Order: sequence, then structure tokens, then C-alpha cells
Amino acid sequence: MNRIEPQLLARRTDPASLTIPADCTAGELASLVGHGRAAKAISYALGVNLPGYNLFVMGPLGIGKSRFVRAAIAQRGKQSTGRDWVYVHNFESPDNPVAISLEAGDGLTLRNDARKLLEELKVTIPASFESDTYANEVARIQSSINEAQSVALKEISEEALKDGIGLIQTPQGFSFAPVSDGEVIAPEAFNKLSEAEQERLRECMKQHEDKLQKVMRDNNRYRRDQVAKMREVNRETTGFAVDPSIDELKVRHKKYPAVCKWLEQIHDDLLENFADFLPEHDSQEKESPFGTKKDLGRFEVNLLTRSSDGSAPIIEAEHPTLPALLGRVDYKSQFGGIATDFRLIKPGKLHEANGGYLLIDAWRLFSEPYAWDALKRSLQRRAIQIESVAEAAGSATPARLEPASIPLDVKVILFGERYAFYTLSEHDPDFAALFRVVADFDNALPRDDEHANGLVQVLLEQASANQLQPLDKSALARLLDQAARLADDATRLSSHVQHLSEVAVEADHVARSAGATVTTAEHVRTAIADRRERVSRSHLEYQRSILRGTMLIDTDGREIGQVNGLAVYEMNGEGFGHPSRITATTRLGDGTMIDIQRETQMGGAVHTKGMLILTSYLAARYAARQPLPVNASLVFEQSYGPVDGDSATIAELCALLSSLSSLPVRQDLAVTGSMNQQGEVQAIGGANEKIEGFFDICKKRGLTGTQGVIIPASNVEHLMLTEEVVDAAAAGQFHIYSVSHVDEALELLLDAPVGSSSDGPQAGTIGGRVQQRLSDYLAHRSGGRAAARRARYAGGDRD
Amino acid sequence: MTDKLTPSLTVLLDPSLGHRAPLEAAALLARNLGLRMTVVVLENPDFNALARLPFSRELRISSSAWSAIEVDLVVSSFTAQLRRTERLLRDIANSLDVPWEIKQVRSRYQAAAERFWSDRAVLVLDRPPQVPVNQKRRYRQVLVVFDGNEAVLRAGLVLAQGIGLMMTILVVADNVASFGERRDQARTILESPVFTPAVQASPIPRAAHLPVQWRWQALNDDPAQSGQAIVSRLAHETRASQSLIVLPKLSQHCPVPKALASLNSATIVLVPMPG
Repeated sequence: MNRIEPQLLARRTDPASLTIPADCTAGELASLVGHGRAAKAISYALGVNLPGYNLFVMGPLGIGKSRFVRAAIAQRGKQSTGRDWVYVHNFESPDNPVAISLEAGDGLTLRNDARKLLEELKVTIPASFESDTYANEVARIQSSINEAQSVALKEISEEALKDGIGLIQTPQGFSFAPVSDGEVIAPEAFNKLSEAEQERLRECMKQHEDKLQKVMRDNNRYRRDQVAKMREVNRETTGFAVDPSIDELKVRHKKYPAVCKWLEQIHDDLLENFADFLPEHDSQEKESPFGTKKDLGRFEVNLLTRSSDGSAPIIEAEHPTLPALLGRVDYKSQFGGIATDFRLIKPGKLHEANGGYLLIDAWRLFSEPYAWDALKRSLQRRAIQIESVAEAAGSATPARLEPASIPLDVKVILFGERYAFYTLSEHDPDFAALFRVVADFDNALPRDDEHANGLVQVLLEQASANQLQPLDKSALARLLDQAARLADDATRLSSHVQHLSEVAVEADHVARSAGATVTTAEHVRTAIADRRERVSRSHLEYQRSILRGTMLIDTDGREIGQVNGLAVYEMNGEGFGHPSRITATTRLGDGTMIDIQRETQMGGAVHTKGMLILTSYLAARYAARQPLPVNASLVFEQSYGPVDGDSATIAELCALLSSLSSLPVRQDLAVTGSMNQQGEVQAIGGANEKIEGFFDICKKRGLTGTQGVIIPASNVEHLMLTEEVVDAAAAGQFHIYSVSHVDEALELLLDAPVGSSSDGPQAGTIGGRVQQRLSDYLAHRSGGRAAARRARYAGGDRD
Repeated sequence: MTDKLTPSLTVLLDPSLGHRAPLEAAALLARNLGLRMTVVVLENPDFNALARLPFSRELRISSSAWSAIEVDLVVSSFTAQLRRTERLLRDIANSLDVPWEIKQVRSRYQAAAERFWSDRAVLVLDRPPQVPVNQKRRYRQVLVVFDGNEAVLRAGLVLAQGIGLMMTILVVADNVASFGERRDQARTILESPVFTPAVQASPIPRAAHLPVQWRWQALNDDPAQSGQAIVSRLAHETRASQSLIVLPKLSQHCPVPKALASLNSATIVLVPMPG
């Protein structure tokens, strides 16, 4: 047993030991302080440019992993690959747009050239077809057939007229009818003609119809020739208009064969579809007098990504849905349906990060349907193939576009918590091959000058970024103390930069509200207290219940079989401790230990383990050569929820031995600690919160000067208690004891010596009283058996 | 300037043709002259008589096959064509703010042309070609026969500038001296503003205010032969392209309606003499 000296209850940072850098706005380099193991892994992953050498960065949230990785990338200074990517129309297969890669800047040039070409074609093609040359050529072709047909029709018409038959032009074609004075004979007049005359007219009409049909058939053949000739004239006229512009572009982009091929396809398309550039005229079907514009979008260029000439891109996928990663194909409403084309292809984060780095939060990625599988496919193929969610889900899309894939050269950096990494490693066979390097960030850093000053610089950078007013050294020292408190270890500093930065922001607010121009330790202290107070409602309610006597906790006096244990719980990142009464009852029995928590299914596995260790220790220590003739029950009084952990094992043992020895337990002490089968005390978590929780109750009832807490000796170096507790300890009003063996805790709590087990039972010791009680139980049990035997003999029974 | 010479402008349409180009040209002219536009859609009586004959059938150009002619089909075809034309006319006339009316008349084209020949309306003849062609109607030039009638030249100029066409002026003259005089007269007319302020401000649907080009063409001024000579000349000029022909109506130099029937692929605008 050892009463801990006040100076060991909290290791404060000496403000004078801190070095404040001149420039606190540098940003990146300070972020690389500490986390040497993770830094080495990151450096390795960034340095290997092979497939699969992507990086999984793991560690707790809020420690600045992303900032750390960005700083490491910036230090490497990788240059951009300098490629632009464009999509153009695929004239051979419109549903499969063509992807073309160009040097940085040439993508924009090509897009502008295409726009300029289109504007030129809108002028040059109509101009060519407006020319007299074209008109004369068309007229020559048309008139040759028209004249031939006119002559033939005129001959037929004149011959028919000689027979009293007229050739009538109808909207659809031609017909013959008997005529009189140039007018078609009415049916009534025709019927009045003699049958012979009627028959003659019919026969004549039949003969002329045959001639007419022959002329029209010839005419159709001529028209087919005419169409072929017209097609040739149109191609020549179009070529005359477009060749100069397209040839110029082919020369301009001659270093890109894909662009030249695309321009040739444009040329061929124009020869066939020149009419798209001609104004609409004289269409009876047109509803609007001004007509509608033809869609000439197939000649445009979709500039998907533009590369910079500088550093490789570092892209963060904040919302990593499947389309946000791989890009998407948009749709537009058209004639009541939906349609799409290559111009509606939109880039994803993989496109933007191509040639550089893509940073993704693993949790967000896995929350998005199909996104993880799509990312894996892209990395495995080393290509970006746009997929839609509908396709991934197996649904049909009404208008489907399958753009050509784009080669992918990207280093993906996934950020996640450790369980995500271990889950993927275990359950996803692709994961290990795709993410060959893991950077595991530490929760805490050594508390030495190097890391303390590194953390100070990070905090100052954050303060600068948040435009906080200056933090003096006392404030920074107090923040470092808080970092140690967060680490639950006086020798370590928590790497949870985000939490510390939030405290700094709140301290800044406190300082400004008080009219201070510099933030000091007092402002930080107030900020920390305010943060705890905001989430302390349930803790205060619990304390109130204890003080009102609703929750039964004694802080003075002595009771048999009743110990103040300590529990801790977390609320919004803040830990709160409070005492919890543990009681034990014992009776003659066969060695059964009833853990009421477990029996009621409110005890966790670790707690059960502690109970079994306790039982084992008890039997080995006090009943090594005989059966344990006792049954015992242990319980956390007034607990209505799950209990887990083994930090109450010492308290439970002390309650049990108090019951067996009938020695009362000091209620002005609380105890926490686990133990092994040899009775050695083992460290527990939350020592600071537990001590403060009991201190708060004692203080509110009035400190007696004897109160205190017993903790494992191995927890001493974790202590970062509040100034209030440390001051009370220094004033002798409150005491913190460290123990290495359960006997030390027993002697403190039961206020009696344990006694040496090797010398056998010693009167007046705890061990002696326990041995005596066990012997009594044994004797009782033996007496009971003898009486039973006597009864059987009396009844004639035999063993 | 507005020459309000005549009370109206009449357009004779054969319903089997596409009408946008002639209706737009006629509306442009009516707008500039401040005239009401009357469109007469002709219903050829021969079609009705033909359809009612028991043995009637037609050889369709599209298929080169014979098909029966149904009376009901002919009637509904006339109705549909009238409605389509009316819808088109409404759009065009409303866009130029021209008052308009449309009516259907059962008459052969030649008879209708002769019937409307003698009144003082500007007459637009859009007759069908002898052989139906599946081709978009698009004018390539304006041909004006100028025999000293200023209104004819102004009408030609309105059409050429309003639509954006080259204008060819055929000057009727029987000797070099009279040719020179009329050419100078034409030049004077062409230098004066042609569009009224209202037309300048209105949304004309085609390229507007393009510079006009013209060619000079001397024609014999012999009244006895002039009409036929003009038709021959016009037939030659319109061989290469569809044309808008502007002629002086009721002039000794104007061909008779029957002679104009030989001018295929042309819309003929007949502008009466002032007074």
C-alpha cells in the first residue's frame, strides 16, 4: 500500500518548456511530427508506382490522418502527368463514344477548334449549296429528266385526245378520262353514250394507260439515276465546302492519330448529311413558320478532364457514390422520352484524380451501394469504365451509352478505422491485393519535448486556420495536459488533434467573451469544464440521487460485506466516474459463487471472467486442502443495466472476505482494480474519472480527511487528475492509494492485517478470521453428515 | 413607301403543292403594299368527275401502280389540304401582321387565272408543274419584267430584299436608246427606299435587307410579239432554278394566262398598272 504523493497525481506541462515557432501558418510540415511508423508506411506506398500499392490509412477519427497524408504527398512533389481527356462522337457506333487523350491544354484547343469548325460549316455548306454552280448543276440534272418526261407525257396526252381521252393530273399521279370540250365527262353523260362508244373509250383508255405506265417506269429509272447523280453532286459540293477546314485541323492535330481519324469520320458524315446544315424550306409538315434547329452536337467535343501543368492532382471524394467516383451519363428530355449522347458524359473523381491521388473515407465508401465494388473493378482493370447504378443493380436503362474506358493511373488512399481494415482483410479477398500498404496511426504519442512541441505547432496552425486570437504558453501547456488526459496516460499525448482544436476554439470564445485578447490556461480550463458540463446531465442526475439517498452510497462508517466500487462511462467523448455499491453475502454451502449480474444476464463476459478468477483465488488461498464450504452471492446494488469489465474484481473480493471475516469495510474509501489468480492487482481504464467521481460525492457531502480511492499501482503513471483533486490531496483532505496486491487493498479497506497464509490461521488477522469461518462451516457440514448417518443407521439403511 | 394601288392581293394555289415559299413571298408583298391577302385554294372539278366515273383509276407516281380513285378520298383530301394551307397561312400572315382570308373555289387553274386576270388585285399564280416533283420549294432568284411600270419594279425589289435573292431585271426595249432610258429609270427607282417603316420594324422570317444584284436583259418592245417573246425568255431564265417572276398585269407586254402555263417551277406575281 502506498499513498500517492500529490505531485504524482497529475504531471503538468511547464509552459516554459514549450517552443513556439515563429510561423504558425506554414501548414503542412508540422503535421508530420510523430506517427513515425505510419509516416514510413505512407512514404513507402507513395514511393512505389505499381498496381495494388494503394494505401489504407487507419486510426481513430479526428487525429488529422488526411492532413498528415496530404502533407506527405506535398513533400513528394509528384508532377502531373499532363494529359487531357475528351469524349467525341463515335460515327461507327454512336452508343460507344470514343475517348481521346491529349497533352495538357490540347483538349481545350480541340474543343474550341471543333466549335469553330461547326460555326464555319454552318456558313460554308449553305453557301456552297446557294451557289449558281450548284443550282445550275441541279437544274441540269432535273431538267434532263423533266424534259424527257414532259415530252413523253405530251405525246401521250395528244394521242389520247385524238381518241376523246384526256390525261388528268391528280395529286398522286395521272389518270385517263373521257373528255368533251376539255372537261371530264360526267358519269351521267358517259352513261348516255352508246355501249359501243363506251366500249371504244374504255379500250382506248386501256391502250393509253399501258403507254403511260411504261413512261412512268422509265421515269422511275431516270429518277434513280437522277438520285445517284444528285448524290454525287451533293458530295462534291459538300467536299468543296468542308475540305479546307477539315484538312487544316488534321494538320493542326497531326500528332494525334485518333483526332485525325475522328476528323475523317466527320468529313465522311458531312458528305452524307450535308442537309443538316441547310435551312429548312417549304415544308408543309412544319408547324412553326421558323422551323426547328437540327442537332449538330455530334461534331462537338466533350472536354472531360483538363490536366494542370503543375502538381499531380489530390482529389478527395467527399460523397463517394458510384457515379461520383466513376462519372455518369446524364439524360435529357426529348419528345416525351429521354435521350443521351457523349456530350452528357460527366467526369467522376477517378477521372479528376487520374495521374494523382484519390482520398476516400472508407466508411462513406462502404455506405454507398455498389461504390466499393466499382472502385475495385476500376483498380483491377486499371481503367475507368462508366457504370450506372441502374446497371449495377441489374435494371434496364431506356437510353444506354457505353463510353470507351479511360486508362487509370491513380493511387487510392482509403481512410478508416481499424475494424474496417480488419473486416476487409478477413472478408474481402480482393482487398489485400489492391491495398498492399497500411498506415496505422497511433492513438497517442510519447510525451516528450519533440512531440509536445510538434503538437503545439499543429494546434497553432489550426488556431491560425480558425482565425483564433493568440494562445499563450500557459494555454498551450494546458492543452497538452488535456492531450495527456485524453490519452488516459500522463506519459503520452493523445493524437486526437480535432478534440484539442475544438477545445482551443471554445477557449478562444471564453477569452473573447471575457474581453481578453490572449487566450490563457484559465480560458482553456473553463472551456474544458464547459464542454464536460454540456454533456453531464445524466452524471449530475446520478450524483443527485446519491446525495439524496436514493442511490445508496456511504462515504463514511464501516459495513460488513459492502464495498464502494467505481464505474466509468462515456458521454459524447467525455468520461464520467461514479461510485457503485458492491455487496456480498456468504453462507454454508458447497463453494458456489452466485454472480447476480450474470444470473440476471446483466453481466458481460469480462466481468464473469473476473468473477471466476476471484473464485479461483479464494479457493487457492483459503481452501487449498479442503472443499470450499461456502456459498456466496455478489451484486452491484441498484444497477439496472449491463455491467462489464473486471475493474471491480478487487472490490468484489474485499466484499466477500469482509462477509466471511465479519470485518467491516471502510465506506470512506472506494476501490478499483482487477486481479489475477495470484492476487496481483492489474491496471484498469478510466482511473482519473473514477477517482474524480468518488471525490465529487465526498466533497459535496464534506471532505472528512480520511476519504480516498485505492487504485492499482500500475495506474499511477496514468493519473492526470484535476487541480481540485490534486489540491485536496496536497491538503490531506483526500487520499489516493496505490496497491500491487489484493492484500494491500484488504488491509486498507478492512483496517486489519491480512496475515501470512504460510503460517496458517492467525488470530486477529483477516486471513485468520476467514479460515476460522471456513472451518466452522466445514464442521457444521461434517456434523450434519454425521447426524444423517446416525439417522440412516437408526432406520436400518446401509451405505 | 406604300403604293396603295389596289385593294387586295390574291393568291391562286393549287392544293397539291407545298405553299410556304409562295405564301411567304405574297405576305411580304402584301405587308409592304398594305393590302389584304386573299388566298384562293382551287379544287379541280375534273377530280370529282373523274372519281365518280365507274372505271376511274390513277397511276401513282410513287409506286408506278394503278389504284382506284375513291370519291370520299378525293373529298377528304381537298378538306385536309385546305386546313393545312389555312394553318400555314395563319402562321405566316400573323407573323407579318397581314390581314388575310382563305376560300376554296372549284375551278380549273387556267379558268381561275383568267377569271382573276382582269381585276385590279395583285395576283400571285402558283401553278403546279406539269410533272409533280418531290422537291422542296425554294426560290433562287426574282425575275422582273420592267416595261416602265414602277410598281412592278418596286414589288420585285421588295421580294428580292425581303427574301434575300438575286434580282434579274428584264428590260422591255426595242432599241438601244429606249433600253438606256428604261435602265436609268429603273436605277432611279432602285435607289429610293423600298420598305415602309412598318415593314422595317416587323419580324421578316427570311434574311432581310441583303444587297440586290441585277442583270439587264433587253426584250423586243413589239406589242404583237412581246408576250410570247417574254414567255420564251422567262422560260429560258427559269430553267436553272425556281423563280419568282414579277410581271406588269394588264400591260400589252404581259403574256396571256395560257402562255404562262408553260413556265414550270415558277411563282408569278402580276402587279397591275397604277391608276
